[in-house]
Amino acid sequence: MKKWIRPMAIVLLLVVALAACSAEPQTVEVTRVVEVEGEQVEVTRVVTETEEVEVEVTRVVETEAEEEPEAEPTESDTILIGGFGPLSAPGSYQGGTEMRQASEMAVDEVNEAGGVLGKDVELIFGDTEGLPERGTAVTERLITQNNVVGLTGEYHSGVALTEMEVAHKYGVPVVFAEPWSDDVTGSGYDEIFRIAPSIDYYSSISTNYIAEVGWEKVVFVVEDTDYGREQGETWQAQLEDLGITDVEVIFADPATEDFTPILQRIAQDPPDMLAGVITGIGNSRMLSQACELGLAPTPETAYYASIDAQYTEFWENVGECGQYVFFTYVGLPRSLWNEKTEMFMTNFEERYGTTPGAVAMEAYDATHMLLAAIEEAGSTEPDAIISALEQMEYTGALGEIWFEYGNHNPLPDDEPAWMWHQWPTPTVMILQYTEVGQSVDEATVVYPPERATGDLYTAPPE
Amino acid sequence: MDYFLSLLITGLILGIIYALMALGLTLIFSILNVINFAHGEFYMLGGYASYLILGVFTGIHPLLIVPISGLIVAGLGILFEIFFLRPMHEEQIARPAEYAVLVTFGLSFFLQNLALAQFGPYPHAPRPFFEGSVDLGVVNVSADRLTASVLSLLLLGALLLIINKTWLGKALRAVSQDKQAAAVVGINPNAMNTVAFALGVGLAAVAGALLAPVFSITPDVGAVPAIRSYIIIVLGGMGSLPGSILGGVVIGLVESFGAGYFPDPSRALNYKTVFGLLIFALVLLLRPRGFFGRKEV
Repeated sequence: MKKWIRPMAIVLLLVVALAACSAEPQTVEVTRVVEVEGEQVEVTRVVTETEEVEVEVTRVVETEAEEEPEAEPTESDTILIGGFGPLSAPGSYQGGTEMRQASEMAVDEVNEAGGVLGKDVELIFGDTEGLPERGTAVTERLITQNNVVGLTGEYHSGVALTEMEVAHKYGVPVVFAEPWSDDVTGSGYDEIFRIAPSIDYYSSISTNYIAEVGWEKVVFVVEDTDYGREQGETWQAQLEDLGITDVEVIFADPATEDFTPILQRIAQDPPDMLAGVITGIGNSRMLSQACELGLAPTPETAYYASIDAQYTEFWENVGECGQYVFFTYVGLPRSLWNEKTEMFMTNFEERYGTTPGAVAMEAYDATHMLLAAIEEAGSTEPDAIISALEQMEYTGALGEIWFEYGNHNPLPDDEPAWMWHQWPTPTVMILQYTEVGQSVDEATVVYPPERATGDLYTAPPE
Repeated sequence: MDYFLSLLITGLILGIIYALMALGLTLIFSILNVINFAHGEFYMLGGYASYLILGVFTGIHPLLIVPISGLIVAGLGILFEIFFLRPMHEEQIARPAEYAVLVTFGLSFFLQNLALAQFGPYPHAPRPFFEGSVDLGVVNVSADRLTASVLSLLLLGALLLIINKTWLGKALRAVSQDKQAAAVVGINPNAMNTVAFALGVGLAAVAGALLAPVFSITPDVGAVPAIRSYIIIVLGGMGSLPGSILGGVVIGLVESFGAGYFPDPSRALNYKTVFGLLIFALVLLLRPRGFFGRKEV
């Protein structure tokens, strides 16, 4: 048996090496000299792709007590910022991966331009796995162990709600990129900023659209997460305000493989519109299965997909079933792209070989804004960064971004609580794929009317 | 009545596919006495193998790739069994039970992360076997789902035939019952362990390749089917092949009818797994060995 051990070890090493070479660099080693109980020790920090941090004391540095450590790099040579988002299941790691890539790109751009406050910036990105408890742990670690001066990212609302509590406890500013829950900025915390739409604002676009088209009976199948539950309740309430009362909300585990039993149930009395609002793989599974059953999209029943319909992989998974599907898109249509959007799209595609979704744009802008605020503040003090963010008017890949209400311009009573530190006008549109294989840029903008590029709704032929 | 029949048909179709996945796990457990915690990842590998090969050889019919995917993954299974599980059976490992759990869990994490690095986080689907849906009178079923189900049924039959009617099947059953006695009559238990593991993970890979056009694949796509398979093999009786088939069909039907008739439609889909677990708990309560479990001697 022992004769197998060596070849086996070689094969394993080769496999690991191949895996490591296949993607972008996944491990960063930082070696520093720090003082522990009066003794100089060299510490090596290894940050892996999943952001597990290992710290190893590699040697004790023998120095004279009076020796100046100026030749050695110190913590203050680098500004550390933290990122968080889902990089593994059960989180929506498609979105999280794009967010991490976009944030890394933003940090590299800033470093190439000379850094912030004359120092290099280092991004430490924590994998929250889409789990609130992991969000708490990752944020605690980033703040208390990595000593980051600001945070950015996050995809899931449920996770963001726990992360913001930790950030608030330590007074560290956060620019959230993607979580939509109203309670994120509705908390009114000084440290919390957001450039994604709130659920209330996001939902109002689709509910107004539903009313405009004239659908009266709608069924939403939403993911059973904090986001999905809040989204379902908001849709129901907003549609009721618009006089549409025949609304059903059905909850589904995002990892559900087979939706056919519930789709067969819905097919007993087909609605005017069926929505499958599940992020990740569930988005294409539900659409394909509704299509196979002949339930939707049909001339009688329209199909509203989740925001994941924007990814190019959507067509690979749903094929012809994707034609006539519509979905809400957060981000700029090509007609509204500015110089930064063009640059971002080109660089991202060159660097990662894939077309970025809106979450990548949000993470990119959120990271740039945090770094610009540190530069503007002239310090890494939280209060100074928060003040700089409140007064910032930033032109990013998503357009002109600013925070209307904050300590410098308090929230009026007639504004919803979520408008605190919230970018008031993120671009939210309804797009419809009218041909198989269309990209987001080719899809018809059907709502709001001022941005529409085609008919309000194109039904599949009889 | 049509609604009932439509739920029955879709539940049966799904149950047969579940059974195929669980059968591989049962086979490995009954022969090697190891619970393979990487079973879901072999299912995932089968899907990716099919996706990769079809991406390269665009002219081949996707159905031809299914057995090839199974063979490739079975080959990987052979290597894993020889290098990592055989030392355990040769008593080179001090605590074999803990070792088996750790080594299969380790493989599971390794394969998931390898797939994430190689294929990225986005769902992928190979070309469909056949386009469109088939009208079964009371319900439309996609041609791919029907194909997967029919092929699963054929595979289950073929496997039962091999296990019950061939020398290899007899040898596998002998090793499953008593390794030492099997060795005395000239059967090599190590070789049977390797065959069983390769067959088991090969079946998982075939299930993955059959279902990839239906459910798509991501690096973690094997997690849910693997957990369901653990339930099915306990329900059917640990180590019982007919038990796994019956267990798969029962779970498929219970999930289908549960979601179809649960009074609160808003929770019906979410409780789908719970319905299966309820039946599981009930069966274990009334018949702790499962449907066809063997009595411990």
